[in-house]
Amino acid sequence: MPNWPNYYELLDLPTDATDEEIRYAYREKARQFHPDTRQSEMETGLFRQIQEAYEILSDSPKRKQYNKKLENEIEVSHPISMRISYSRSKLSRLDEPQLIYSLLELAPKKNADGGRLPVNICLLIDRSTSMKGERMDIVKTAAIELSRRLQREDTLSIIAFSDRAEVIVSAGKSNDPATIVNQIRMINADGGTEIFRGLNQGYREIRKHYKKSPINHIIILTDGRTYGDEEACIDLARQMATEGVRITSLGIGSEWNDDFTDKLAAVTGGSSYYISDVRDINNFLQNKYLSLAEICAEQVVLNLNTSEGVELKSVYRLQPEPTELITKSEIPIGSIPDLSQVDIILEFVLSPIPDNINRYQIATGELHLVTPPDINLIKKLPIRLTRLFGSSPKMDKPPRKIFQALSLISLYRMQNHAYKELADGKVHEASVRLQRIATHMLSLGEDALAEEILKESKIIDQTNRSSVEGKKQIKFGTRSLLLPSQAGEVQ
Amino acid sequence: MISCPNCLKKELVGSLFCTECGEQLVDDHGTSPLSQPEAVRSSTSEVISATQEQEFLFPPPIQDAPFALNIISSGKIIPIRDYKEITIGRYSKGAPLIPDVDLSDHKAYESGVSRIHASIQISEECITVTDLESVNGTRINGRKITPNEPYTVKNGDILTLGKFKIQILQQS
Repeated sequence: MPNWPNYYELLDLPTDATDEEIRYAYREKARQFHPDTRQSEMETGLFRQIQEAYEILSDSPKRKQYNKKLENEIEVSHPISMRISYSRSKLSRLDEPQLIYSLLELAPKKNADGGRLPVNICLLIDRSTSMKGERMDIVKTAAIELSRRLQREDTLSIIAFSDRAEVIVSAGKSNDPATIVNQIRMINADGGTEIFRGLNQGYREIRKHYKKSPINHIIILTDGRTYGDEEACIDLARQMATEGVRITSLGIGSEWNDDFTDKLAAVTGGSSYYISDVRDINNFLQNKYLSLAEICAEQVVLNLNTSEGVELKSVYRLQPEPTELITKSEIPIGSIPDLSQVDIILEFVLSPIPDNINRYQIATGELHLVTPPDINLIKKLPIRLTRLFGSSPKMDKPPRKIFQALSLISLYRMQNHAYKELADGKVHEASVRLQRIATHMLSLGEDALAEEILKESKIIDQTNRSSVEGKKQIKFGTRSLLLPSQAGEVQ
Repeated sequence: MISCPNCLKKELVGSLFCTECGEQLVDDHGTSPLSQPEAVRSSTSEVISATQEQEFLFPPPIQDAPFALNIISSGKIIPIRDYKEITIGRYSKGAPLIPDVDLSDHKAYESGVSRIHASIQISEECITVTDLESVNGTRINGRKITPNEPYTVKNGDILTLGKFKIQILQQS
């Protein structure tokens, strides 16, 4: 039995092909490669393989046996396991667009231990005037603790930025812990917030060592809005993403621009967080550092080509860090942890589909990833998203996991919508929408969040504007619910 | 397109939740309510079910209350006293409103009863039923009623909430 290509690939079929599809594909291929029409040795061999493939796949018990064998082979040869499921088992023939959701579950393989990889981490500390006092002290303490926890093989750099950037700890140079601590202590809060300056400097520091390990991470701690350099920041972040550098952003207080930091992190496959209580910074930072190294795959990128007439409308990572990702053809999705899986929801809009097609190819592509210990090798796993057509317009029951995820994504989108309405001056609409979200939250058992949302709705009614903390608490609170383990029972 | 049973917003076929109000558009138990081809068919089934439900069910007499509800599936009779208006639905954990008559012990969820499905107004002169924009609608003797409009009912009438049947009982 040939290992590669397998019988399905040989006949250009998905693994869940129907008997009819197999018959059809076989006839097509057989005609194409029949010895009567083709002379070359190689193609005669191919013809024999095609026949062999058909013999196995057209015989139900033999096919089952073959599938099992194939699964085992994939299990052994692939660095991770990938499962794909859909919100609908069949598409409908309609002369209007339709939606389908696809869930990608990427799980670490048991016993896959490539050993711990070194971490190349850069801390960007906002030291604008508003950070003065408790905030700065706590951030400094957290940075010092991080420097002490660092393993010998890791690389740390620290940049402090306001309207200019200063390298506090240079990557790989000052390994003496006492020196690092002193340098951190000397950071003074002064000036405005221009993230680009810090980001650019951080990128330079990260690049010094980024060939040593696939784990290259920038953590931004900020409490302010950056003015005018958002676009430059996003462009730089995109550049970093192509080199496997990821950004985590940590917003302190309530003045920072969450939409901007969300995007900044998302284009690299990272996440942004809201810290309402500064005292949580230390915990967050140490946990983040530990989790960076606990991975079975890094620099995971989903390369997807959608078929003509298909639009990738949105991509959400549900776990490990719930985030709305970007919808480009190359989607950075971060790392795959050692112990938990990565869940990605893809939302596709399909234009009306020609009548003569039985199986619709939604998208094809590859998942690219780097797995220890081969850190210089990008492994590629093929992905093919296809669906058959059904005659009944009736929708079947979506898988529970997809259903639950979408119930929460819909609430997350509703709160985005409400704040957009508010920004557009539709005060009443925004307030009513928040009340609706609160009702859904109550039925999910999220009483505290529901209360928060109702409070916000009242504030909006009375003052025609949102409260500064309310917006962030609601947004990040709703988003954190996407994590499957925390998701409430959806009834 | 399919339309949201709650706010009537049009959504693409395959949507699971309404983008406007967050209402679920696909029953997580299977059937999708409302893709359009379905709606055409349901009008025929409406006629069929209407004729089937015309069968008369003899209303059992009641004594200790002026008005009662007969749960057809179990034969349980719920007497209603001292109420001018009651809401019928099913209790669900965490929901902000609790219906006066909770049908959750009678497999109401499986039968498509909304949390707050309908209300019944009781006065000396007459009894009326109002559907409160329930997902699966309310029928009186098999005929679907328009949401938010009161309809008069009498002793022996069959009320269908989704697929859940209740008989109206009045002291003669």
